[in-house]
Amino acid sequence: RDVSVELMDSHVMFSVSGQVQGVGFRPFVWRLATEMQLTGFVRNNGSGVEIGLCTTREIAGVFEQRLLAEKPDQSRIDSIDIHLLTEPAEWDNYLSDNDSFYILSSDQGSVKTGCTPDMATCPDCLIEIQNAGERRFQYPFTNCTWCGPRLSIITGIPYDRSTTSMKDFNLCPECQSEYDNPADRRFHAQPVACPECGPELLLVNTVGESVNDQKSAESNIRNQQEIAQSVTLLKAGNILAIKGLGGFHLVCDARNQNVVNLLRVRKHRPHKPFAIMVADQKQAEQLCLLTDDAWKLLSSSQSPIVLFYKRDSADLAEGVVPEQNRLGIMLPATPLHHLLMAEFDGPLIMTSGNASGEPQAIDNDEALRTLSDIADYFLINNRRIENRVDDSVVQWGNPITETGHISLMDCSEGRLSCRTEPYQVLRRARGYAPSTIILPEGFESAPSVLAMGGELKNTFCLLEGNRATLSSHMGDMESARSWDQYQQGVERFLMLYQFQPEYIAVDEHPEYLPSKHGEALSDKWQVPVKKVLHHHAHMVACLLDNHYPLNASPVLCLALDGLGMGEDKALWGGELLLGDYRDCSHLAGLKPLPLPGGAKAMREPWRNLLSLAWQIETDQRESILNHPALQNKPVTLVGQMIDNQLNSPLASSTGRLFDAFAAALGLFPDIITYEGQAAIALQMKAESVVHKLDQVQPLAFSLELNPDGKWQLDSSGALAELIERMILLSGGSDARDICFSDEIITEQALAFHKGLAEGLINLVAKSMTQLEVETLPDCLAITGGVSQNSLLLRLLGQQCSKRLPDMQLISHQHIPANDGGISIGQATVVAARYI
Amino acid sequence: MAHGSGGKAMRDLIEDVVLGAFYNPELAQLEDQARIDLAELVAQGNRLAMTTDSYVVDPIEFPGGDIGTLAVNGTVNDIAMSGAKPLYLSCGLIIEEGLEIDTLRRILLNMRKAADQAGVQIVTGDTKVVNRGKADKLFINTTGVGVIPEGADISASRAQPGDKVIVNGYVGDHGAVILNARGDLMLEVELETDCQPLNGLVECMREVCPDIHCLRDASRGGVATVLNEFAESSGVAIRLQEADIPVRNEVRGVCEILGLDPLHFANEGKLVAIVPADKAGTVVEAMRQHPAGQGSAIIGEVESGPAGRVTLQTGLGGGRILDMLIGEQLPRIC
Ligand SMILES: [Fe+3]
Ligand SMILES: [Mg+2]
Ligand SMILES: [Zn+2]
Ligand SMILES: [Zn+2]
Repeated sequence: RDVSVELMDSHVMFSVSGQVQGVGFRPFVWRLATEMQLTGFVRNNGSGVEIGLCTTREIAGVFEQRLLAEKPDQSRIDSIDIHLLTEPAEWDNYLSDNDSFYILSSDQGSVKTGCTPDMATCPDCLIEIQNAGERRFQYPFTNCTWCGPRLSIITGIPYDRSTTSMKDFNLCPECQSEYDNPADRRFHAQPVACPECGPELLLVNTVGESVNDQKSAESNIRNQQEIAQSVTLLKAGNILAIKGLGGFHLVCDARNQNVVNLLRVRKHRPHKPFAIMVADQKQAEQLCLLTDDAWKLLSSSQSPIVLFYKRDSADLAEGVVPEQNRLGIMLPATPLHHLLMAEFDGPLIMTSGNASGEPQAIDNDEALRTLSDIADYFLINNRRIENRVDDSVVQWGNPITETGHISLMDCSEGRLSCRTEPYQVLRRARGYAPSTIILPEGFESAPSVLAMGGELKNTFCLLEGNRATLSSHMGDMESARSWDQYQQGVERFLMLYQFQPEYIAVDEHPEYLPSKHGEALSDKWQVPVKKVLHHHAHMVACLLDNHYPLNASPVLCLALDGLGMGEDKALWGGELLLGDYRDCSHLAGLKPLPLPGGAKAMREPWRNLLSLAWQIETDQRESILNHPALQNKPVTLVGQMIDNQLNSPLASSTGRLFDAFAAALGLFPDIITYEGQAAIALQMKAESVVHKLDQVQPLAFSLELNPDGKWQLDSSGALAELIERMILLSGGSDARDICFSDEIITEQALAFHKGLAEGLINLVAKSMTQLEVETLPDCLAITGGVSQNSLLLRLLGQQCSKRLPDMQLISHQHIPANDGGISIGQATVVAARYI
Repeated sequence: MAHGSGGKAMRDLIEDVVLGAFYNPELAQLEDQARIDLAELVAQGNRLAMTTDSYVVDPIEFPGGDIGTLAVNGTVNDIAMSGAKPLYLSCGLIIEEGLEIDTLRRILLNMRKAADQAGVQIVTGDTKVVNRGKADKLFINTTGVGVIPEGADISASRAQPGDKVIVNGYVGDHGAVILNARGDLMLEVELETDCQPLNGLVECMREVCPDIHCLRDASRGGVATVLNEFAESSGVAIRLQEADIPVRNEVRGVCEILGLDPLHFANEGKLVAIVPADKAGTVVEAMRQHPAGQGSAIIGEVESGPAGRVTLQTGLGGGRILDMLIGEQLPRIC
C-alpha cells in the first residue's frame, strides 16, 4: 500500500460546507469522481462533506470546477477548503485500499447536520410515476435523493431512516439495493419507498371507515383506486381533506361555485382567499399572466404558493378570491398531488386543513376529529407527519400586468433596483425552511443565539457564527395547538442541530408567549435572556436580507406594521429608526392614537376611524361622526372609552391607520375576518387606478413636533380632507350623504397611498435635518408587515428619489417583512452585540 | 394621632359612629385587644386560618354594595376558601378628612350587616383620619380568623387530571358594575355587584364532597387568573368550555364594547372549585340549593398537561390560550 501511495501526485482533501447533506451530495460526488476515474472517498462530517482524492493538483482543480458547476439543485456550497495531506500515512485512517472511490459512513461523533427542507417531486421521479413499465408507476409516495419529504418526517439525528417516520416501513429487497447502490439516485435516500414496502393511501368517510369495499389485493392498484375514487368525489362536488407533505389540505373543485360556498360556510371563512393548485404551466397561465421567471419560481423544488395578479378571464368560481386582484397558485409538490391533478383535470382549491383559528392538522385522528364538520371524505395515508410544515407563500411583483400598465413593483422606476428578483417571501415554510441563511460579512465569530420570535406568524431561529436557521412558520400563538407545536419544534430543532445557545433573544413584549418561553428556558439552562425591540428586529431582518455588513454605517429605517413593543412600553407600529445591527434609536413616527378596545381595534376597523376622528376639532368631528361606517355603532361609549383612557392604549400603528382610512372608504368597516383584510382591500382599490397616479391629488399628512422634539406624522387632517372630498364628490353637505361609488373609492384610496408615502418621506427628510451632517445615513430600510403593500413601497421609492436622491432604498426579499422575520432579526441583534 | 388634623370634635364623632355600628360585647370591653376563648375554637377544628386584605375601590359605593361589604365579604371568603369557618374580623379604617359622616355611617352599617349575614363578629378595630389627598375617601383593612375543620385539605396544588371545574354563577358582574359606576361610561345596563359571603355555600359543598381539591374566590384577575394559579401549582392543564360559562348578556355586551374578557373581570361573590369528577354532579346540585350558588355550573375539566396551561375551547381543535391578567392589558396582537 505504501508503494501505491507514493506513486500518487497528491492526497487532496476538500472540506465542503454549505447545504450539502440530505440533498444527494455524496452520490453526486461519487458519480463525478467515478466518471473522472478518480480514487478516494467522500463522507459527511460535522461541518459538511469531506472529500479525499488521490490525484494531481491539476485534476483536483478540474474536479473543483465541476463540483461547483454540477452540484445538485438543492445543495448550496458556501465554501470549499482545499489542502494537501503532507503525511501520506494519514491516508490510512480513511481508506483500506486505493483502487476505487468510496462513500464512507459519516463520522457520527461530530454530526451537527440539522435538517433540510422538503422538496417537490423531481423530474426523474415524475417520469417514473408516469411510465407504466416502472415499478413505481403511479405510486404516490415516490421520491429520491433529489426530492421528497425531509423536515416533515424527521425525529432525530443523524438523519437516517431510523430517525424518520419511515422507520415503520421495512425496505423491500429491491428498494434496499437502490438504497445501497452509490450509482443509484436513491442511494441513502431515507424516505425511499415503493408499492411493495412503502406507505399506502386510504380513502375514508368522516367516521374513518374505508369508502372502497372492493379492494384489489395488490397494494399499488389499491392506491390507484383510492386516487380515482377521490377524483370522482371531487368532481361530484365533495370536499376532501387530503394529507399532504407537511399537513392536511382541504380540497375541492375551484370552478364549482356551490362547493366553494359550502367550504366557506363550513370553514367559517367568509372572505379570506383560498389557494389554488394547478396541474401545469398551461393551467397556471389560464389564471394568471406568467413570465419565465415567475414560472421558474412556481416550478422550483420549493414549490411555494405564489401570489400573482389574477386574470379577469380566469375560469374560477366567484368565491375563491372574493374581492381581490391577486390569486395564490401552486403546483403539485408530491406524486400524490401530481396524480390527483392529472386525473382531475382542472384547478383545485388547496387550502390548509384546519378548523378556524387552528393550525393545519397533521395526523389522521386529529384530522378526523377536527375536520369532520368540514370535509366529506378523507384521503389519508400511513406515513406520519412529524413536523407540521405549512405551504410557503411568495408574493410576485410581476413587471407586466394584463392591461399593459407598468408594474407595481417596477425595479427601475421605484428605485428598488437592489432587488435582483421581483418577489418577496411572505411565509417561509415548506421548501424553504430550515435551509441555512448565511449572515453578511462580520458575523463569522458570532455566539450561538436562540431567538424565540413574535406572537403572530411566529418563527424561531438558531444562529451560530455566520449561519442562521430559521424555523418553518409556526403560526399564531393564541392557538393552544400552535403553541404546543412551537414548544416541541424548539426542542426538536435544538436536538437536530445539537444546539446549545449562549444567549436567548426575546421580543421586548413581556406578554408574548414565546418571550415567556424564552425566560423559562433561560432559568432552566442558566443562559442570559436578551430583549430586542420589535422594530429593531424588523430592521435588522431587512439589513441582513440585503447582505448589509455588520460594521457598515447606521441606516434609517421606516418600520411599518400593526403593533410591537417599543421603548418605555410604548406601542409602536409606524416609526423612523436610526441604527445598525447592535442598536437603534427612535427618531420619529406616526402620532400615537388610542386603540379603543385594544386588540378589538384590530378586528373592527370602524374603531380606528372613530379614534382618528376623535382627534379632530369638535365642530368638524361632529360631521364626521355622521359617516355611514359609524352608524349603528356605540360611538358615544367608545368615545368615552377614548376620553377616559379605558382599555384604549396609545399606539402609533400603520396597520390601524390603513384600517381607519379603509373604513372611511366603506371597506370592511364593521369587522374583518382575516388579518389585514381592510388594508388589502384599500391597496387593491388604489392599484386598480394606478394609471391615474399623476392626476390624483394626494391627501395631506402633516408633520408636527412633539414635546420631545421629535417629528410626528399627524393623520387627522388627512382624514378630515378625505371626508370633505367624499362629501363634495357625492354632491352632499354632510358625511351622512357620502356615497361609495367605485370612482370615489378607488381614486381616494390612491390619494391615501400617495399622501401617506409623501408624508412618510417628508418625515424622513425633516428628521434628517436634526442629524449631524457628517454622519447622515445614505440607506433607508423599509420593513414591517405593511411594507408588503407593493404599491406603498413603490410610492415610497418614487418620493424618496424626488426628495432624497442620494438615498439607497432597501426592502425584503427572502426573509419575511412581517413578523415571520422577527426571530432572525432578534438573533442577529443579540449576536451583533455579543460577538 | 400622628397624622391628620380632623379636629377633636370630628374624631370623637367618627369614633362614635364606628363604635355604634360595630357594637358587640367583645368590643364593648374596650381593651386593646380582642380576647378569644381557645377551647371554643379547638372544638371546631384543628387549625386556625388567618388572612388580611386592604380594600381600595373607586367609587366607594356602587349598585348592590360598597367598600364596606367588600371588606367583610372579601376577607370572609378568603378564610372560607380553606374550608374554614370564618369567626372573627378586625377592621382598620383610614378616612380622608372631609368624607361625609352619613356616607361613613352607611358603609359601616353595611359592614355590620354583611358580618351578621356571614355569621362573623368584628371584634377589634382602628380608625385613622388623614389630611385631604393623603387617602382617597376611605380605605379599609380587614383581618379574618377562622377555624379549619379536621380533614379539610383544600389547596391550589391538588387539581388532578379528570377533575371538574365549577363556578357558582354568573361571572364578571362585579367588574362590569365597577366600570359602570365609575361614570366613565354611560352604559345603559342594570347590574348589581355579586358581593356576597361564600362560607355558607362552601359548607354546603363540603357536606356532599368533603374532598374538595381546590377552592378560591375569583376576585381580582377573575376566573382566568384563579385557574392559571391552580394549573401552575398543580402542574396540570385546565380546559374550559366557553359555552358552559355563565356570563350575563349585559356583561358580555360591556366586554364586547370594551374589548375585555369577562373571565378577567373581578368578582366579589364567586368561587372556582375543582372537585373529583364523580362528585361534580352532586356538588353542583347541592350548590344550586344555596342562595349563593343558584347559577352553579361545571365549566371545564382538568387535563394532565401541559402543566400550567389554561385553554378556552370555543369550537373544535385545540382552543385558545387563556392567560392570567397581569397589570393592565397591553394588546399583544395588533
Ligand atoms: Fe411586526
Ligand atoms: Mg386576600
Ligand atoms: Zn426524485
Ligand atoms: Zn420497496
